[in-house]
Amino acid sequence: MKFLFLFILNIYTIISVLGQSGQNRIVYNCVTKIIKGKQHDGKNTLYFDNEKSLFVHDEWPKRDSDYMVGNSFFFIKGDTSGMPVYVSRKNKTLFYKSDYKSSNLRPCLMLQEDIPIINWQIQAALTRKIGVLNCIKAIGTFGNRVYDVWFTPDIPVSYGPYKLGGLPGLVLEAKSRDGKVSYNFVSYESNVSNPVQIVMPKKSMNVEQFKSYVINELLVAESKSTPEVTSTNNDPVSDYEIEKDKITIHRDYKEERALKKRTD
Amino acid sequence: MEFNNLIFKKPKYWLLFFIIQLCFSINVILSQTSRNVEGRVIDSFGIGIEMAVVCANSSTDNNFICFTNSDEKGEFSLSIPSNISKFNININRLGYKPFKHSVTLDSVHTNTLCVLSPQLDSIKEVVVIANRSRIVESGDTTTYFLKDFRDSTEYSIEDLLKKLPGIEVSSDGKIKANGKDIKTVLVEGSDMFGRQYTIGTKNIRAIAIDQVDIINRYEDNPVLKGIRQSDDVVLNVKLNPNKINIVNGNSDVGIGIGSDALKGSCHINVFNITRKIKNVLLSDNGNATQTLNTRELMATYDDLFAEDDNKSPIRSNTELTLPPNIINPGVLKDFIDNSLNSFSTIRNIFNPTERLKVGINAIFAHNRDKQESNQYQSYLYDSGRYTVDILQQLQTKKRVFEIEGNIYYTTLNQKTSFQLVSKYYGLNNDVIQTTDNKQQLLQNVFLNNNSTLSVNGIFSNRISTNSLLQVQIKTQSSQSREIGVFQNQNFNIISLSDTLLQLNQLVENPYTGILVNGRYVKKYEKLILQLETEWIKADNILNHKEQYTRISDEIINHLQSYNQRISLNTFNNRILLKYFLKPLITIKINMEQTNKSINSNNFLRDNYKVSAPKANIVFEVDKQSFGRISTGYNWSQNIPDENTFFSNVYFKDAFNRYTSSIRDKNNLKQNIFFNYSYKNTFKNQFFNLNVILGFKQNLWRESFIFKSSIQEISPFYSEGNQTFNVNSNFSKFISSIKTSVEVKAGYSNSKALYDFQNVETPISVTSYKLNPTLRIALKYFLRLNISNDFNFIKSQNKISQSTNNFINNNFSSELFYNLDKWRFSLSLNNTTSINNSNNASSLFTSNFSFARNIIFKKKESTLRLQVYNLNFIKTYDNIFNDDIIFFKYSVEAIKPFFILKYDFSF
Repeated sequence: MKFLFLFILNIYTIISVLGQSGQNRIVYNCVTKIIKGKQHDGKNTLYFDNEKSLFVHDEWPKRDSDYMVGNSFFFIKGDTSGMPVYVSRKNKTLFYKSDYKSSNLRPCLMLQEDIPIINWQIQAALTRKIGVLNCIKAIGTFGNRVYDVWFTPDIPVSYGPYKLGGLPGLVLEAKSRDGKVSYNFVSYESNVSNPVQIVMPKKSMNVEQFKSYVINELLVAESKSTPEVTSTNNDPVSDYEIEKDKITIHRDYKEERALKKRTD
Repeated sequence: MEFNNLIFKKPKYWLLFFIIQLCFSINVILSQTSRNVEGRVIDSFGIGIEMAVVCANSSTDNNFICFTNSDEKGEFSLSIPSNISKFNININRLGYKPFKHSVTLDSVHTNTLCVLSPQLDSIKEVVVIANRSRIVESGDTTTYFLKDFRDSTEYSIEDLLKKLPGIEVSSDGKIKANGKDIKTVLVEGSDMFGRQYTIGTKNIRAIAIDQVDIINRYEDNPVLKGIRQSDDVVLNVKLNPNKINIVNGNSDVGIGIGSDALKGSCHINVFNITRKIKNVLLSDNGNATQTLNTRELMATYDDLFAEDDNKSPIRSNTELTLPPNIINPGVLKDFIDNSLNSFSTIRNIFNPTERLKVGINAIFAHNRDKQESNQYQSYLYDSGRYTVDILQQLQTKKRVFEIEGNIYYTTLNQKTSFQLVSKYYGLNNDVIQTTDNKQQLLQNVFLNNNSTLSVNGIFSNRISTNSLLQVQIKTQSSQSREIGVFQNQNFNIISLSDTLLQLNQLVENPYTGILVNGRYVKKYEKLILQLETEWIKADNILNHKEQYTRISDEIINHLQSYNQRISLNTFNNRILLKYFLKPLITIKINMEQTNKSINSNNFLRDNYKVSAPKANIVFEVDKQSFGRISTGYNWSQNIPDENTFFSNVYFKDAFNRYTSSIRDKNNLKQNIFFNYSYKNTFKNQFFNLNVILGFKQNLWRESFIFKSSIQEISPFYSEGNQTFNVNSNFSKFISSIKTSVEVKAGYSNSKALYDFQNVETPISVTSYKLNPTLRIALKYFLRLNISNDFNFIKSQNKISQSTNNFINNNFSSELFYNLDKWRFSLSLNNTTSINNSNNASSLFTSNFSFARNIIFKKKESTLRLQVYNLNFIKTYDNIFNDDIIFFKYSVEAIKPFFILKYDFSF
């Protein structure tokens, strides 16, 4: 009886292990025309299994640098980890590293938010093949940009480049209709021989904490105002990031404050 | 019409119509509602499978109806429009076989049980790569397949690179890939040209190459790949397999007539590159250049000896530069009419195996600039009157011979290199300058032999990915000899020999930590131990003290400036201990045993040998975002001058920065400084304020110092900028009150800069293309120096004032007119130099030249014949001051110049 039990347990274990898939890797080529710069561009890699994914900007500068165009200074925050985006479909959370408010003395922030829900319209009639993978077109809006994407049901996971996803297959190509962001398929490999360990960040800032952090920074900056010089912080311009109008905290806060002043 | 009237006039038909309409609407509304289809995805043991993709597809055309994911219990719910009664449920999950189930809806709730079975062959790897395109990205490398970019108009690699997307080639040949500067160009993985890669890209024929790789994060040393983070970008050129062993290159021979002698030029570039052997020969000889009127071209040979390694194709010794202030460099170059230059280099790289690389590099450069007599005239103010003097026969010779051998041996875990560099360089400079009451002759023959042998090994232990062991052994020996001639008397100035033995061992391991004369890092704790041994031997230069005293002050100053560069340490042992108590607090202890020394400032003092144990201790608190406090004490047993207490405090916030420093040199010298700076940015404007307040005291003088500067930059035009900069500098007792105002205005392409204190504008070149055949180029260069020093020395109660003004203004314009085979150019040049009241000259030159190209082409070789005909040169020497105005006009004869060019490839 004991042997029978062990035998069944063993068989169960084998079948369970067989049911587990290894880690898969897809490489994209990213081209952006956003105001922030070309940091996102070049090779981007998505590592994923059924439950979680890790998206890495492989060509993100490793070191801090700054340069001047005209009268404007630009600062590029280097990151050796490639500004990762972690997605846990199981916990329905998304973590991403952001260089917002970073400087050569201040590290990048790890932010947490819900997985974006994109209302995809699947154009089942529009199909094409990328390599040997059958792809279907879908249209959806993410980050205030409309994307045309090609996903493949042959790889049944709901991941894609950056924060895109939520389709019944892996997104292989994505292009925004305003021409500012595009991801092209380069290669796909299943059961990679050298898998990357995907560990969700332990410390992160959620949306509310981030909001209070930004407002606090604003108040610190405004406290330096003098009667002659007004000092304040503003939101990034519209096309600054991949997600258009991503941060509107300053604007919202200032409007709310002005309204409150008026009512008082 | 009658039927309508019949229906709509009677109410009961109205009611009937309304009921039919209501039924129809309800039917439509009901048909739009959806029904939930629920189910559960389980494995063969009945355990729920989460994150499976569940799709409902139409059973007729397989279109997507809707999709969802199963939850942690494996349950799912699909919302199916109720007009669909028959559809398929497709369930997919990585690692399981696809599941398909046909559903027919006969009730609102349907519960479906889906059993997935594992895909036994799922372990097999699948690799999908996008269709091969002209540009392929793989890892950090972007590959361009050049076959698709050729259109047979390109001659060199550079012409091909200009056609590749994402690659920019500037007019000077510098390459950028995706906006980043290329560090170097490799040929089949070998660095043939270093930073001077334009030699290769402009000369190697385009037909020889097949593929170009842009490699990001390039790490030269394979051992350090993945350990060191590099941001370097390089371009690797791969050869065409069919053209793998061709010899290609270009050559030209030119001959013409100069002012007093024949002019000639000859150059040849040969490239023979295979995968194993790479040979390059570059040679350039002659006493003429194609465009005699361009200052920049004349300066290219000077670049051979420039300090900046970026400009120089060879490594040169900075000591070869001419002594400063002996002649006016602004006027000198324009008169150089007869110069002989030759430059040759042979480079060879041999890869017998993949791991072994042997390289030889030999350079010979010889440069002679000769100034003819009567062509350089100097006007000196002496004893209240102006005199005209003639600077006769100025001649400069520079020679460099250098040979370098390299051997590299690389395996996965180590890279060892041997390098032997042997250099010989010399300078010969004659200046004869005559005045009424003073005659000066200076002749320097400067010779230097230098040989270096270095052995370099880097070993990497890849078991632990974060460890790096580097061992470096370097030996160097050099000999230099300087011979000066003053008033025809020879004497030795300096005879110096030094030997340096350096052993440097570095172990770096951030996590485990090994400490052998190296660095130990454990999170926030750092301990650095470093041991250096240095031994330099120098002959006693004061043997020649008597000879020095006979030399004029100017030459002594000049020799002292040489001496300042020589560190006369005969023996030096140093131990530095640096300990980080916490991330913020550092203690540094430095102990040194020095047997020395002749301080360059005390050049003629007798106490030039001192044995001095030294030590210093520094305590430092550092928080970069907030500020830094450091304090310490330097101690020396036998040199009381070096006993110093110091303290520095530095604070900053977003706009303000405060710095204060106190330094007390053994009660002999005391400095207290306070510095405040304010910086603010609003919109596009920048405002900077900088104030320095200080007190200096030593045995014989004390001074208060106040310096302030204000800078504001604001947008003046939409594309330009305006800068307003005010500096003032005041210090009590010792002297100088200096004020400078700098104003920048205009568009970004054209800048005017006025500074009343030593300003040099870069040579600005503006080119306008009026139409495809006509082009105008404007060049401008300004050097302006006005300084007014008011000196008051307290101890001697002496007031002296000196004014030194110097303006050098160069302007040239060139007009080019290109026809199919003819090329005409007209240029006007003006150089004005005003040096206070001592020297003023103005030079006007106009040139007209034309050239005809005759091109023969046979297969891939091209024969070009260029005829340059320099028509006339007009020269005005216009010297203006109160007493003498000198005017000179000359027209020179026609000077034809023929060039035969031959490009070969076989």
